[in-house]
Amino acid sequence: MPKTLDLPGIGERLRQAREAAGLSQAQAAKLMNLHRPTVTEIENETRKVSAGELKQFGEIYHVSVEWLMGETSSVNDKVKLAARKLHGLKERDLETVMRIIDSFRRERGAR
Amino acid sequence: MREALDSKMTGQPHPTLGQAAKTALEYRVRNGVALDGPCDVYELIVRQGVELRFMEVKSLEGFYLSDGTAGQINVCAFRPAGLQRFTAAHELGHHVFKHGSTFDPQLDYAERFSSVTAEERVAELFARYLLMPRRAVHKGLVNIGANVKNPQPSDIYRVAAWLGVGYTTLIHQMRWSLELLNQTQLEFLLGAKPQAIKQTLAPSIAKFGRSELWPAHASWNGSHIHVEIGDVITGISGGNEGIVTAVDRACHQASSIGRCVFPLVGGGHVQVSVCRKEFVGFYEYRYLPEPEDA
Repeated sequence: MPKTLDLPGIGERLRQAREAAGLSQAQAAKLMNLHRPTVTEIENETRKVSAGELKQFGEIYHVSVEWLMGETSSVNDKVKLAARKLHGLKERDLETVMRIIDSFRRERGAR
Repeated sequence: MREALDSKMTGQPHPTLGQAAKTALEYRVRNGVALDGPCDVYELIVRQGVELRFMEVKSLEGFYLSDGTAGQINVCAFRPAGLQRFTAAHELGHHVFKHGSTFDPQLDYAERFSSVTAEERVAELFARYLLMPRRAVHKGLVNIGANVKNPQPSDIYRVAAWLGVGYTTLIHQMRWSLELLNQTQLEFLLGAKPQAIKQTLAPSIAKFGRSELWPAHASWNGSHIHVEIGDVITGISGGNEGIVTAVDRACHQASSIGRCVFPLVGGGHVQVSVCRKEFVGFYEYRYLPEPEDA
């Protein structure tokens, strides 16, 4: 893995993961020992993120580096299929559930 | 959902409902939770190494994810405090009984126990007895000087708050599982509205809205109250100390995120943890204040 990463969409995935973890940018910055504007810049993709920072973000947000990098997985397809069949689950909620499922098992594999 | 996904692979027969209740009581004892007190289910879950998250999914009560070794419990962020804790206990039941990944949609009380699978009934019974065992309910009523055989709505509300469950949930447990109430008492108690009870117990609060009332009492010594900003706590002493603001001599209102231990009126201490309203995220960050230099 290169020392700094330039991956389209990684800023948005970092933002989604941070919000799903329940952290503000300031809280995440403090946990990462970064300045808050640095987190903003990384999420806006105006600053590249290092491989070490990405690993640390993954640990704090409880998601795998692979998920942050946008890699897809079929590991939890059975669970995702069951979620799709749920009666009454709204489209936006289904998207959130899928994101939680996607980031679940793989984070453990990364630890 | 009405079906768990992986348990069929275990080949294990479903436990009976009696076994589910017994397992819940044994689980309490094994984890150092007294049978005659409240169970802090959130702390219990994280102590098991299971992740706990409050999710931004309004159309599910909760769901449990498992890969066979690790587990993650997800609870809807937009429900009343008692229902959230009951859902967490229910999902813990799926974890304890190794039901595998399971989704739980919104169900009313009758649906929760009738038109569901055996695994759902087992998880439901586990949650009820984990949070509301007979000895805890009985002691809760005795602690506040209530007539155990004829409790009033405010008595039930106070015991439900001590146990961390909803008013209606406790009434149903007392009627159908513990058989401490008859049908007439059930109908009388269900006729009382929690909003009106809150107003009676804390008359100085003009309007509660969706905010909860936590009527702490000396018997809450050692308890942990999980509150949201705007919730009202009675029975604690101390002034405007960081996370709460005194409304008057009797009432404090949760005003900022964090954790603090407060003396109880009449002796003892209680831990208060305050999160923002409808917190979305992992439990470990629920009470994390904003950095001062943010």
